[in-house]
Formats: sequence, C-alpha cells, structure tokens
Amino acid sequence: MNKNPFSFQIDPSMFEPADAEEKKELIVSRKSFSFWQDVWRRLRKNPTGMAGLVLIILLMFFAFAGPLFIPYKYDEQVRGHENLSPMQTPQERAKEKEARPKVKNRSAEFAYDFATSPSTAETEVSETGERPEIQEDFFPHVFGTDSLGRDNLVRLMYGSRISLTVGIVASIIILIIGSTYGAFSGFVGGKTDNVMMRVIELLYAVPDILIVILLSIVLKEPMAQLFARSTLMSKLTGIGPGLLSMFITFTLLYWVGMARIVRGQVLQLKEQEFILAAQALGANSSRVIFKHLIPNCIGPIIVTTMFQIPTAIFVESFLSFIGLGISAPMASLGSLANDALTGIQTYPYMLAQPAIMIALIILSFNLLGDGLRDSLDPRMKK
Amino acid sequence: MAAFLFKRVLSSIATLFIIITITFFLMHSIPGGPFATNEKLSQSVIKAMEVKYGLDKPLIQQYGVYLKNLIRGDLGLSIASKEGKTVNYIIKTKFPVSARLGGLAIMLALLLGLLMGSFAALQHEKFVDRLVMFISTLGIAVPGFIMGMLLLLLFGVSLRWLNFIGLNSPLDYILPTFTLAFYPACFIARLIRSSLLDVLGQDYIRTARAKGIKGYSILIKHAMRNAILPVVTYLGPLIAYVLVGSFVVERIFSIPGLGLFFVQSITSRDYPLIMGTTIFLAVLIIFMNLVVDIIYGIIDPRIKVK
Repeated sequence: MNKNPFSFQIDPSMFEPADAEEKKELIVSRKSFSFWQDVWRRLRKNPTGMAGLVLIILLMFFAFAGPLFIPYKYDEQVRGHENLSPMQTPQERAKEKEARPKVKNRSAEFAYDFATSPSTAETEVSETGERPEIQEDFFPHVFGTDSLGRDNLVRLMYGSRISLTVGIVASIIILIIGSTYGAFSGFVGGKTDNVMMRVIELLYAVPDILIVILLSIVLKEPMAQLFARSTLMSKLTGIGPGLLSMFITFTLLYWVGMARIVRGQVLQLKEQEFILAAQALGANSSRVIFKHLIPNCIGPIIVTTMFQIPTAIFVESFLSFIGLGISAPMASLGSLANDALTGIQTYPYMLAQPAIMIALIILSFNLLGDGLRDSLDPRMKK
Repeated sequence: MAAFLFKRVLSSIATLFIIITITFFLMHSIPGGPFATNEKLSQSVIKAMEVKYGLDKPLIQQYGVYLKNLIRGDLGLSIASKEGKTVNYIIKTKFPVSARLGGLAIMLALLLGLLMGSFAALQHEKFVDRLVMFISTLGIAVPGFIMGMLLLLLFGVSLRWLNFIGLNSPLDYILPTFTLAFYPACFIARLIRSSLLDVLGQDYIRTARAKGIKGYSILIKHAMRNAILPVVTYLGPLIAYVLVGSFVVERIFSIPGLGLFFVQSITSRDYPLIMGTTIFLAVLIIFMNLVVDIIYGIIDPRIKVK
C-alpha cells in the first residue's frame, strides 16, 4: 500500500471489521467489585488503617498463640526464680545480691505501700538464707519474673488475651443489643420510639463508670459463688467470674451509643423507596429490619463497634487496675499494672510491660477504626 | 429560657433519683451484707451491728430512711472506719485534695487544648498542624492512666526529676495534673482545630480581614467566640472524666484524695462509703452538666428556645 503521510488518501485498513479481541478492548469497564472488596481495596490504600490491622494481627498472635511457645504457665511459680529482671538467670541474680548486700535497706528506703503487697524485701532475704537449689538449664525469662517466680512474658500474654477477649466479646454483645434496640425503636417510631428514647436518654445521663464500678462490686460475690458451685459454668465459659461480670456490666450500660446511631440510620433509611417496595412485596417487619435496614447501615455499625473495642479494653483495664475485675492468679493487663505499682522503684519494667501493651492494643484498634471509617464510607472523610 | 431551665432541672432531678435508687438497691442486693466476711465477729455482734446501722428493717423501709437522710444531706456512717466517722466527714476532708488537683487539671487541659488547637488551625496543613494532630491522636488513643504510668516511669523512676509519692510540694502537682489533663487537652485541641477551621473559612472573617483588623484580634474577638462553643459542651464530660480519672491517678501517685479513698473502700467493702461517694460524685457530675447547659444557653442565644 502506498503510504504518503502527506496525502489525503484514506487507509483502508482502518475500515476493516474489528475482531473479537479488539472489541473486548473497547468496552471500557473495570472489574466489578462487591461492597467488601471495595472496602478492602480502600483500606489497603490507607497506611494508618493497615498499620492498625497488622498490629492487631501481631498482638492476637502474641496473646493467643504466644503461650504455646513458652514452657511456663501463667500461675506456675518457679522456686528460686523470683524477681529476675529480663533475661537474667538466677545465678546472675545471686551474684548481684552478694555484690550488693544492702538490697533490703535499699528497697525499704523506697517503701511504697508495702503493707498491701507481698513484701518483696522480705522474700528476698529468706530466699538468700535458704538458697534453694537452682536448675542449671531452663527456658530464659525474656521479660523477667515477678515476686512469686512467675514468668512475666506468659502473664503478659494471658493478660493481653483477657483484654482482647473482653474488648471483642463485649463489643459483639453491645453490637447485638444496641443495633436490635435501635433498629426496633427507629423502625416502629411513634410513641414506642419516644418511650424507648427516654430510656436511652436516662442511661446516657448516668455517669457510666460509677455504675460500672458499683455493678462490678455487686456482681463479684454472686459470680464467684456461682462458679464455685457448678463446675459446668467454669467449663462452659472457661473465663472465670471476673470476666462474666464484666460482660454483664458492659451489656447493661454500653449499648446506648450503638442504639442511638442505629436508630438515626434507620430513621433515615425507612423513608426510602426500597423499603416501601419490600413492604409492598409482603415482607414482614423482622425481614425488613434484618434483611434491608441493618445491611444498609452496616458501615456505621462496624465503625462504632471498632471504636467500642478499645473503650471496652480501657474500662476492663481500668477496673482491674482499681482492684475489681479479674481475680488472681489470672492476670489481666490492668491487674498486672496494679501489682507492679507496689515495687515500682526496684522493678520499673514490670509496670512498663503491661502499660505499653495496653497502649499498643488500644492504639491499634483506634487506628484500624479510623481506617475502616474512611474506607467504609468515603463520603464521611473530611 | 425559664421553660428550658425548668425542664432541664426536672430531668436532672429525675436522673439523680434513678441513680440513687439503683445505687441503693444494688448495694443492698449483695448477699451477706457488709459484716458477713468479717469472721472475727460472732452472730450476736453482727445482729447488734445490723440493728445499729438499721440493716434489720425491711429493705423498703431502709430505702425510705436513706432517702430522708439524703435530703437532709446526711450520707450515713462509714462502716470500715473504726471511729465511726460519717461519710460526710470523709468526703469533706478528702474531696478538697481531689478538687484542687481536678481544678488544676481542667485549667491545664483548657489552656493546652486551646493553644494547641488554635496553633494547628492557624498553621493548617503545615508542620505545627501535623505535629498537633499526631500528638492528639496519640493522646486520645492511649488511656490517661497508662500515660500517667509512663510519665511516672520516665520522670519519676528513670530520670528521678520529680517525686511521685503524695502531694507535698508544688512540684508534686506536675505529674498527676498533666496525667489527668493530657487526654482532655488532646480532645479539646481537636475540637478547637476543626471548629476554628470551619469558622475561619466564613465570610464574616474575610470581611473583618478586609477591614484591616489584625490577625490575633480576629482570632480572639471574632473567630474564637464561635469556635469555642463545642468546647463548652465538652466541659460537662470533661468534669466527669476528671472526677473518675482521679480514682486511678490518685492510686498511681499515692495522693490522699477522695478517689484513692473510694478505691480503698471498695476493697474494705465499706458499703455506706461506696454509696455515699458514688452519689456525691453523681450529684456533682449532673449538677455540672446542668450548669454547663445553662452557660451554653447564655453564650449561644441561638439555642435558647428549644
């Protein structure tokens, strides 16, 4: 074919029929994503959200799988291994003590509320007197041990496990109760809604932490008795009385915020045409609520739940810290911190470990929550 | 305004009544009563004690008596204290310590929050803004008492700059006040930043600028007046936060205030004291919320009639 770039001669090849391949290329479309794929795609682009997610996965692994790799149990007291600092062996500790015979005076000088704690100073002295036989080879105490010779790392893992469990389970309970209540209230409307919202307003005005503290005090005894009486209970739940009463307090008080959000969403949604269409097709109320309304407000629900988890973890550690909640020998991060406070001058790392752990857990859930908020509803982004 | 006030006061009283009722029946539903765990006491002594504290009467009657005493401002006797101190006396002696600390913390939170927030808004998208947002995200994510422990470890134990037991010199106030104030300060900074950004974009600010008014004068006289409104609404929760936060902060720093005493009364099962303190704090929180609402009505005339 004669091709002169400056001629007006038309290239006949441009008029050949397109083959299947070419046709395909012409259809401009991107692969269709489902809602969740879309969310995941947006979340992956969000660095802080992803950092939160990765951190949460690591923490989960640390808390739930971690104890499998450590040959100690959370309540196992190794004789002769008391008060080791991180990675220290008992031999080193004994040497250190001989080099510094004034240990007792030193800790007495900085006496810090020793009356309420097993006095660390006294145990040390009796230990040096007896000099119990010490195994030569043992698994290193990476994070040291406490005054009873329990491995800090394992206790930290169990503590994180408790905190994560409380956070996630409590948030799921809150999610179920809150969204059902809110959806019902918003959906029915009218007088019922009015009454139900009054209840919420009242609960909202109550200073929640105070009531949570009261409830934990009240529930502590009966729960312990309940667990002592039936072995079934402890086997069934495997969580102990402290955790169960914690869940009860959460369910009683913290569903309010969730209910408000879901109600607001439902009020907006129920005026829309697709609900009318569903009703016209004969869907009953529960079908409309569970199949149409709740899936449509899933975004705010998930985000609220995500932010509920750190709140629950915070409240749990707060309660354990002031002496409510988990009972010994089980450890939670809050109770670990509380125990460590008594020996803070001599063993500051024992306070630092649970404190940093709580901070990490709460931070990671907050980061993921932020990321999810942006990716579930990009319009909400400022 | 009068109708709003009336309605608001009424609902506060209703909330208060509910809290008192819940508290009373919760505390009295504990099996065994307050003397049950004390093994040293014989049956007859327990009987006598129950008569003394009125615990032998039917529950409803006890409730009536408690309410009647409450109206007169009498919170009853503390059981654990051996000298038979009244709960009122304990609150009167312990609360000023907590109140001083809390007041300082609230002032610090407001000051820090306002400063950080307005600097961030004025330097929007610049380094200061990024820094403030970073700090405040961290401050909101990390619970106050964890922050307190970390501060304690850093400045008290490692560096030994500050003493961290008790409140004996003015310097001792630094750590606990900062611990209490950090979270609210971060929260206020975020509030102020976003509302100030919103306000600074409005036309009347541009008008003011066009008239040649100086930058800081615009900020303080024109922008702040509107931007500060969300902070006023936050004052109620802030006060509640500081009161409850005192439980842990006083425990961490061994401050002999009401918070520490409350935590101790939990372990010693001193029910009248627990009840009294709870009700006292609840009254305080609800009253402060009421005051804040009224102040809000005065500051922002737009919401007066509702």
